[in-house]
Amino acid sequence: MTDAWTTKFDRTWLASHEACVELDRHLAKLVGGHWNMRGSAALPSVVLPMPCEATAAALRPLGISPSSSIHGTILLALLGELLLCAETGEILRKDTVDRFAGGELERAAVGDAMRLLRNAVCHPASASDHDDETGIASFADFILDNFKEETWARNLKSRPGELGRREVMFFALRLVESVGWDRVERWKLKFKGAKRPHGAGDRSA
Amino acid sequence: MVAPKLQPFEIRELADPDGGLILELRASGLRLATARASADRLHELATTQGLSRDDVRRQLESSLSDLRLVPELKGQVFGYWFGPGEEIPGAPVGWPTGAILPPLRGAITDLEVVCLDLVPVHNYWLVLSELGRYTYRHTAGLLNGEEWRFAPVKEAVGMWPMVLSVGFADSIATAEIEARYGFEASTRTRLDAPAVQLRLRRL
Repeated sequence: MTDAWTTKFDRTWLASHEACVELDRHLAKLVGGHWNMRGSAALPSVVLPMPCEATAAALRPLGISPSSSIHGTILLALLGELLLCAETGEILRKDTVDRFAGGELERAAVGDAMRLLRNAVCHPASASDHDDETGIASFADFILDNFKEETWARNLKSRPGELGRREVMFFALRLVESVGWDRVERWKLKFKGAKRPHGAGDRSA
Repeated sequence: MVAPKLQPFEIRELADPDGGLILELRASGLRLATARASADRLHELATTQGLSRDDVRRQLESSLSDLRLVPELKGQVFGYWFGPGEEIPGAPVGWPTGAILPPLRGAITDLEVVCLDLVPVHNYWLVLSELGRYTYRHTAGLLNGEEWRFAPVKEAVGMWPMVLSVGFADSIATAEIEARYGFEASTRTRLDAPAVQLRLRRL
């Protein structure tokens, strides 16, 4: 019987070798451009320290073990940053999210969640409750306001260690799934196999 | 009621190549709501009611100004999402985890009803678009064939729990939302993607 992580992971673009390879090819082109590398000099192996293909291969078995959830979340947060920042070659900041959002609140929510998750996992010692940018408290507040189904966020401020919960990793997976497909469409990437899930609307509406 | 956290608000006009009038309510650089009057509608208002373009603009600005004070949509029904295997408790636990908007000619208490799916952004409730489905637990689950249920708050239906099965209905184009769900809902939709509709059935 397949575990919940593998089931959900296998439904995302991360489980598609073709999708990962194509995204890596394009990410390498973008990131290579920031290093003045072009053509064959800008191979994923040369310019991407964390390519999608290798990260996805590491994530699939890693996420199965509940005690490794935080490590899975960290990889997903950094992968999300790579996808959002490769075009500009910057750190994921508020203005990066604003550009990604293009004025749409729905997109801003995804971008800000990705940014605050990255901050939370990269600054695990931050205990500030007065900083909108860093730490687990800011991430918890944002999730409670914007993703009310993520009820695990209710405990984060009193038990910051719960950032390592499995549900946080599943949330991170959904964010990366959303951002990844957005990038595929924005960059007009083509590959065989994986398709963005569209769900079956019925015809009796 | 929780006030939106976005500040400050700004209303600005967008160019409409078809000659209509489009106004946007924005906060912190983000679009919160859009109000439109097509060129045909402007012509109709001018001939039947003698309203000038500026008169219509003032009315639209007034509508958007009212909206910015109210994070919730009139008629929206709060409730709780339950995924596969999640038990529905004997009494609701915590704050509602979601909301839906029944059509103008329909009610959440109907045996079956097609609704808009609402999501909060900065405590301001928006109509979920097709492109937004990948991030939310219930819609991501539905996309992957999971069975999800919605239980409205007791205040909306007079009992707990009234459990509804949930599935995707056909998405609805932005231009069709006003007729089915009202003006206010039409202002809170994305312009670049159809809105999600959910079919809810009493269990």
